[in-house]
Amino acid sequence: MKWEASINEIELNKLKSQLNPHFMFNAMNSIRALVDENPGKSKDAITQLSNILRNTLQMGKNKVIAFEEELKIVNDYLALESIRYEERLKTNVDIHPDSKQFYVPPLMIQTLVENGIKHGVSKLTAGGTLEIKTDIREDKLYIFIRNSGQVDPQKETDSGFGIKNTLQRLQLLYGKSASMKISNEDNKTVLTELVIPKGIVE
Amino acid sequence: MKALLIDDERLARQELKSLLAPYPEIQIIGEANNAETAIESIKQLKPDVIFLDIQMPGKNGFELLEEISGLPEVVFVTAYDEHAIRAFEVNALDYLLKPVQPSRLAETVKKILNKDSSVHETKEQTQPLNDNDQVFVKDGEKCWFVKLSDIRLFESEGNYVRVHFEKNRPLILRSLNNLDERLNNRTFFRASRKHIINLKWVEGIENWFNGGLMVKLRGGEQVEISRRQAAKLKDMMSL
Repeated sequence: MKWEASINEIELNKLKSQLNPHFMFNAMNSIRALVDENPGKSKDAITQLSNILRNTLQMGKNKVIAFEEELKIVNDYLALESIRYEERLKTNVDIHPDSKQFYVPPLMIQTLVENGIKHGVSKLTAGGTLEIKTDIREDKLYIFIRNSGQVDPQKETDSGFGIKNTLQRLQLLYGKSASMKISNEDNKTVLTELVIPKGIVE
Repeated sequence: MKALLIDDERLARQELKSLLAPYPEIQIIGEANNAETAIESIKQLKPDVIFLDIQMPGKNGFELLEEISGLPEVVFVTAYDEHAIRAFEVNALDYLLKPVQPSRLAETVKKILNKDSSVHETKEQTQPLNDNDQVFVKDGEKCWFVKLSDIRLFESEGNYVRVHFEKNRPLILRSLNNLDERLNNRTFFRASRKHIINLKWVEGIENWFNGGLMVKLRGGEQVEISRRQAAKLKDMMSL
């Protein structure tokens, strides 16, 4: 049992999300322009980027973090992407108040939101929307991420490594009681649905 | 030097503008936030150099290059270096990483201005060359006085061009664009960003990927003709 647990631990470490270097360098580039244009906003952006980097570095220590912590990272992430994409990215965050009773794997929601922007909004010349909504159903946390765009399940890049990685992490942490799926909700919206139970498998 | 900035992010263009501000020799004549607009602007404004982002909605930077004919010098500006090798393949003048370091940009500007002065040099010798003209080619210690009609292929290698004739392959300090302007375009055809071929040396033509062509020259060289240039060749050469 102990041996199996340590194997799990190793697997989990391998699967941890990593911050996308594209995002980081593009954010820094936007900030550099912002220093001239809007010094106050550029200071905020530096704080937001620091917060994301700090969380990425500390992530190794915990299998899960409080939902509110993750939400803070996601909000900082969205603030930075809004600087970069300007009017092309519209965001909408609607959180069920009881969500704060839950814990989630660190950077998992952030990764899914980033996917939504990378494969959705960033490919659309006119831009689009990224929406996060949570709900509690039968003692589980439901996280709905909607983004403009379409997924092609045949395409490796759309269903690629990040998604497989997320599924394996969920399986190792929660067994069958967690789930994630990505589908086209209608002909211009992609829905990513993540379901997280209250406790992890020990 | 007329420059066009192409990036989907306004702030990224703004940043590049402020980095280029200390160089009055580089005149920014326009901006585009996607490939479609950029292609139009290149046609109308005929920039000498384009600063080009790679990832953009719609067509990306490489796809854009396939669609333009004027072939301005290209400086890629992108956030991450996984594309560097491909940028080299399309014969880009330079490749900058965001955020761009001012000292690194200074080198790029130097390269751009070098290209400009080589254009001025050849402007003095404005007469187009005839196929029977002989040209002086020097590579290190070796010299040749070679008839243009004997040259099978000009192949760009960085700032140099490799000249293929008989068994010789000397390198000369010229840009392919300069040469292209001076050569007779009924004989010498711009096959791609990297090659000018002598059509009289063509031995065989095959259809190739993505609507391109593969040309075999007597002498053994094989040269791929890009889709866009292939269409031009067919136009030019059909009855």
